[in-house]
Amino acid sequence: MKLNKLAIGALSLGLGLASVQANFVPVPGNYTVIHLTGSTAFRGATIRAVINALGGYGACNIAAYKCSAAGAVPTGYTQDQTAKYNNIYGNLPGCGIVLVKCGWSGSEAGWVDVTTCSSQKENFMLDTEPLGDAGTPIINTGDATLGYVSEGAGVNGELDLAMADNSQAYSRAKGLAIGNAYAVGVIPFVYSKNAQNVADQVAPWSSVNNITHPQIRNLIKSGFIDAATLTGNSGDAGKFFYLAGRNYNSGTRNNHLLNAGLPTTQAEKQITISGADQAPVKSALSAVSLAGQDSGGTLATTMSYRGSGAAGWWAIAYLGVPDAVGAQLVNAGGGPVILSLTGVTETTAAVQQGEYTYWGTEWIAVSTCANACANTLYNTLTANNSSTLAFDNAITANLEIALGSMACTKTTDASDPVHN
Amino acid sequence: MKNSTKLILAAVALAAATSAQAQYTPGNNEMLLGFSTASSTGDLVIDLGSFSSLPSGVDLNTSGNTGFGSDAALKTALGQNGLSLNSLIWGVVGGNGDNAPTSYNIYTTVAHGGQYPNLPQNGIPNAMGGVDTLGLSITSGKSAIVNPVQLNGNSVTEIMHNAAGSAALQIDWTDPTTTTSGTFASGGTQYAVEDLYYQQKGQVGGTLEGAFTLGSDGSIVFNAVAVPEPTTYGLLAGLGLLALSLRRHLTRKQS
Repeated sequence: MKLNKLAIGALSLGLGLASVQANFVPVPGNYTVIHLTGSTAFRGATIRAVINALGGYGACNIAAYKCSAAGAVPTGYTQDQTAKYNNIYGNLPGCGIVLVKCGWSGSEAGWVDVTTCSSQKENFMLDTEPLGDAGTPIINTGDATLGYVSEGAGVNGELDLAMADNSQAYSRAKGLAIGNAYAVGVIPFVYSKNAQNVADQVAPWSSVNNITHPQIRNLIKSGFIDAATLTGNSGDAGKFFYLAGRNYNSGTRNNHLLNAGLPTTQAEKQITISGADQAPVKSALSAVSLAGQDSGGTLATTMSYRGSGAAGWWAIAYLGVPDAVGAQLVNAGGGPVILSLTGVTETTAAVQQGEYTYWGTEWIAVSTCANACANTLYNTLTANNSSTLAFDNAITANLEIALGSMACTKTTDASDPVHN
Repeated sequence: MKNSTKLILAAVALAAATSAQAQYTPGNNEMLLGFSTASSTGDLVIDLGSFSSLPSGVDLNTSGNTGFGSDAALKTALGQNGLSLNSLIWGVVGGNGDNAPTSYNIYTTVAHGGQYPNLPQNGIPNAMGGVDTLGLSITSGKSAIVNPVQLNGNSVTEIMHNAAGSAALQIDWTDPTTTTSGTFASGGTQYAVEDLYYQQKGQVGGTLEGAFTLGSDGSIVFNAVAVPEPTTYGLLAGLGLLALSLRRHLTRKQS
């Protein structure tokens, strides 16, 4: 079989089909499925942590789909860390062979996923999706070859594990039964203005480089803000910046509301940007609190579309740092421009010291219905060896932050950081 | 057609329309009736339906607008959630901020006979962010009980009024509530009245639209500002012409 795979691989290369890899299909009955879902913002570190737990890239068979383009992968990430769907197959010490199926539903969806054993489903790749050979993940920016399936609620097992950007106490699943939960990291977020062509990089867009909490509250409640309120220039009055954001499954959105001093139930009005680079389209304001982009990556990509300034409107979005940095790489002319918050630029040091406040504590949670292997993976990922968490070794500098490196603490998700 | 017959037909039609009404929809000028007390652990918010569908001079319980069906049922619901009719904080608010910044409007109650505050119309979209938050606490049917102590930010206490003055509308707009007397439910039926005002983009001050009357029996009635019917206009015009004619007649006599 191994020789056959090598032969097929060589033949493929010989035919010029370098992207077609020799692949591996898990044999049913030989492995346990673990469903992992939740935070899109922290998925880069989570994917790396799971692979580390299974012995590293060289010991895993991996497929990663709906990845960012190769040129839009933030420094320090591999392309599979930007995927929306990952299937990771390998040996989990203490359990045996597992297929960890990842479908990143969003932080809030993740809390709901692991607190509702018998009703919630999410989309994952099929078990039969071909995987790359050990050390050679299959990477694709498009859809999975074989497609997706809604699982959970007893279909091929329950939803076992979820990642969340805030604690359960500030989630929609507040008070519901949970197997266990543990804080494993810190995820910083940023505000950005949308990309513009060079010719349109003029006032009021060029004058907006910072945003304050009162301005954010205005944006949240109204869905727009008069440019003059941002720039202090009366000549900008009557021109508007709109809020572009996420839907109610997003932890980025939860932290954005909490950091602005608002409850997570706040009705947030915002636009959705569609269209394409050079032809962005602004939707009407949506008033319903459930509305918004379901993916941080998609929101970041739409913020890299240039051309809105010429059309007379501008957008401000809240993004996870990896998505914002990735989107900046999409267009050669520049992507979304990150704004400072109350005069403070987002840096790891500014977060660690409590100077920059828009960040969330990352949690991993295990369902009461999780299978034994999922509990083993949870224990592996939350093991605290000499004050080093498994996630600490999966953190990428400038994109996520190790919990142990923090010099400040938020007493609750809604609290201001206080230096330790 | 007799007025009483018209009212009955209107009430029946409205009941049929509102029975199919979904939960709160932002941007639809839906009127939210909120109840709370200073120490409430179960605020009650009711979606009365859109302003244009509010019947005038009709008990909104029996018309189907509150969803409770009768005054007694609303009174019972208040009691079950620890809301006494004595010292009851209540008010109505609604509007549409969905088309901002192009257009927007708000409806707000104020104390009966009180002056509508001079509020900047640009603040309406912000205020509607709070109104929609309150409305979206109704996740099924026409009403919701929300415990303000849980601090989820979507109760009457947190959106309309609290003693600290930190409710969303107290900050972003104006307090739409008044409080019944401490003996409101004692003795015979007593009534509390609030005036409903409308303000839209570009409008300085508000327009009086009518008044809500809350009874200590649990009744709640909206009375729209009377708009003269065509026959009334005709009568007024006739009186005007008569006055003009008399004036000319007198003028001619004097000359």
